[in-house]
Amino acid sequence: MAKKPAKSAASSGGKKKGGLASGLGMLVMGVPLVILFLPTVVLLMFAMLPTVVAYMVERGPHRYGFICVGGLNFAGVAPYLLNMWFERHDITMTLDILSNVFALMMIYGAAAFGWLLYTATPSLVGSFLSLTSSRRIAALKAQQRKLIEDWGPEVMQSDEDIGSEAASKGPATVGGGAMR
Amino acid sequence: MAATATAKASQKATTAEAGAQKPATGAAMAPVSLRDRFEIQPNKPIPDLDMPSAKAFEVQDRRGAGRPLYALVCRPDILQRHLVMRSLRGMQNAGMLQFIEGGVVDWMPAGRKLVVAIYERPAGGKMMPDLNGTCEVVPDQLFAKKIIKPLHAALQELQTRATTHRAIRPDNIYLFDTKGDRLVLGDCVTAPPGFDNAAIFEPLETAMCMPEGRGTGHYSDDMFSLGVTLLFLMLGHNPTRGRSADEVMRLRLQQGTYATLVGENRVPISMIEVLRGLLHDDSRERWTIETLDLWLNGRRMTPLQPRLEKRSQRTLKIGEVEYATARGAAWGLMTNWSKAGALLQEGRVEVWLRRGLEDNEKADALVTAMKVVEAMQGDKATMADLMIARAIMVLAPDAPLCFRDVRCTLDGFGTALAHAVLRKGDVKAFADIISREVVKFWVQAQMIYNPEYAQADANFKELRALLLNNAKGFGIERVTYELNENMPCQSPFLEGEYVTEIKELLPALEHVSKGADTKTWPVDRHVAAFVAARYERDLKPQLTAMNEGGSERNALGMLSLLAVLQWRLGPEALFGLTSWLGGLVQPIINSYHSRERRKRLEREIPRVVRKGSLPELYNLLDNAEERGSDGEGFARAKAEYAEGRRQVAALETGQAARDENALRMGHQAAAIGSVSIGMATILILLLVRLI
Repeated sequence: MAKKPAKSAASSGGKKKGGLASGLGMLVMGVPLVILFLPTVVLLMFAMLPTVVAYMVERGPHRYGFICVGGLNFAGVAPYLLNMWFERHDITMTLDILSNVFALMMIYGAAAFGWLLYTATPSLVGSFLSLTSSRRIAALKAQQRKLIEDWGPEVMQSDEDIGSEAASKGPATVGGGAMR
Repeated sequence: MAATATAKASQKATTAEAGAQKPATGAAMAPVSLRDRFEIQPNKPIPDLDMPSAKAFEVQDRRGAGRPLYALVCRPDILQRHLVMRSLRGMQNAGMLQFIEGGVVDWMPAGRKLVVAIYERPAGGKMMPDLNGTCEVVPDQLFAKKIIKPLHAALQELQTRATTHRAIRPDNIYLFDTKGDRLVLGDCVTAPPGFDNAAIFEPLETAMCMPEGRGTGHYSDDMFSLGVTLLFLMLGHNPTRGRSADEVMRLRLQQGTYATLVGENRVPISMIEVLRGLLHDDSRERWTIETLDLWLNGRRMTPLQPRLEKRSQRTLKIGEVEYATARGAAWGLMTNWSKAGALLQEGRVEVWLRRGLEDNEKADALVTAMKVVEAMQGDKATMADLMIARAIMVLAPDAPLCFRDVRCTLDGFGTALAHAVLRKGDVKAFADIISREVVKFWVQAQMIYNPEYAQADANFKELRALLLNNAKGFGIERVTYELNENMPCQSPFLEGEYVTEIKELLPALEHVSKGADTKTWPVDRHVAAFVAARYERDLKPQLTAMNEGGSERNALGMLSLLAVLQWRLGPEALFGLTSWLGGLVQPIINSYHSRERRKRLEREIPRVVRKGSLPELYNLLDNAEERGSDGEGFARAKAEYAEGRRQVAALETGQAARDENALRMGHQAAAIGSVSIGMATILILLLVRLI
């Protein structure tokens, strides 16, 4: 009992140390990268806003909404990003793009399409699943009808329904062997 | 109620008799053949040779050497003595009418089968036309030679064949030749033992019985009848004429038979010894055939003195009659059954026993018997009847079994029951005698040990078990057939037939199948009981199936029963009966689950019907292999159906789960699609740039 608080204190102290180290590492690595790729970072910061919003508004254990929006959002921003990378990678270019209405419409439209896809796909899948189970039910009912036709409506009785009757009745033969 | 039933039965019996004996017309005039040898002429009756229970007709013997024969055509409502017929076949005795043949014939005038017995025809007719008639008196010195000797010879021959005659009376003694030199004893097979005898020809014990309940009896009963007959022939008339049967019975009980019958009549002195010996009321003291033989050979004995019963100082009044002896009081109780209960309950019989007869032993026995009955469970009326029955046993232990209107000896019980069944009368009293163990009480009441009684008691215990089982093949019907070896099957289907042996049953059913109601199974309670009683092999599976619940099991049991009979006893083909049953087996077919199998069986039945084979029909319908495969298939089908139902239910009730699933799967698909589009866009753009 006495060891536990000490151990947990040690581990929390370790975590804090680790978190601090990684934060420090990120800062050391991240800041030069941000400075180096500032136009890209700025572009992505503004262009990927719908994805960030989607991530923030989505609740529940399975978060697929922001992935869906993010995928298409990124597809929308990709032509401009590549254009910037291959032609002129500076902040002016970034501002040009962000001030281009057509470009913004393209980027945010793609994100909106992603959301639309996220909203519409479940009903499509639901319809498909429903269609499959209806067919299965019809097939099962047809099979049951055939069984009734071949064996009579008694086949519908479950063992629990006829258990006591069958037990008292026993086998239907009189016994004493066949007369040949 | 019982009286109405009896009246109806009598009416029915009279109708049947009239039907059997009415003058023949048209096709009914044709001679009726017995065993393809004897031709009975329905249009040639011989009224002079009629018996009380049979009518006489002329007979032609196809193989005969011209000897005159006659046939006695029996009534359908009484049992004949078939065992005695067997015993008399081939018997030739100077003192007895020769029995030639007996059997069942299709008696056209009555439109049914009847039993006939063929005898050699006596030329001189009856010695005495009826009991109120007269006959020529034989001189004293010739009486023994002309009358006693032939009758003695006949009885001696019967005893060697272990048979009793039980129909010895003056109107059944014939003059065989026209000169009247040879006297012969007549028929004894056309009615049950003692049935046609007036009560005076019966010893006291059997005289108290109903005529059909007198039983085969013992040789001593024949000796008694012989004594009375000799008295008639000595006097040439009825010694009791002018007196009623009841009065004669009362006097016999009071003063003994000898004193009652001989009385003031003039009897040759030489004959007194014989008459005293033969008319003795105690069967153990009565003359036997050997004693008579000694007397005929000249040995003279001291005449037996009648042992008179103890008489009471004061009488016991039962009904309108006063009785002074215990046996007389017993007779009074049994003939006044409705009043007897009150007499016993009021204690008047007990008081009379103590103060009048001064027999405390009997009085104590009566009180004990009544207390035992009072302690028994049962309905009040039956218990009252049982009390009367036990009181009679105490008063007169040698009296017959008495219960309500049934009065019979132990060995006459079966015949009496058979008659009630044959006349469609009330059999409740008989059933009560068995179920209330009256026989056990009767055996306990006997003063003398007799192993026959113990045997009878054991037999009645077995009968009780059969009676108390109410299922088909048991009950009072089974008891009737068990007790009467020659009782014809009384099934309504076999009305008009005369089926006494098991092997005759199927041919008879085949015969009636043309006109029978084929919507009903031919195995009714009577047929089932008849088969169970007559067939020596085990029929338990069939009887069990017949009595189980479920029409298919009943049908299968009945079919199996008849199929076993055909298989074991033949005949080979029974087209009518197979067709009859073929139309009734639908419940058995329906016991199969498979519709395909049912159709196949239905298709195959006409083929089996054309063969007329019940075993084949049974094997077709109750094939164990088929049943097994049907059962297995059905179980599989049922499991399949249940699985299908479960799946359908799961699919129908799983909408919410499916919606959730669809939502998750939709979101996943959208995410994968979206990411894929993003990746593809990058890749394409990169490729465009690089190329």
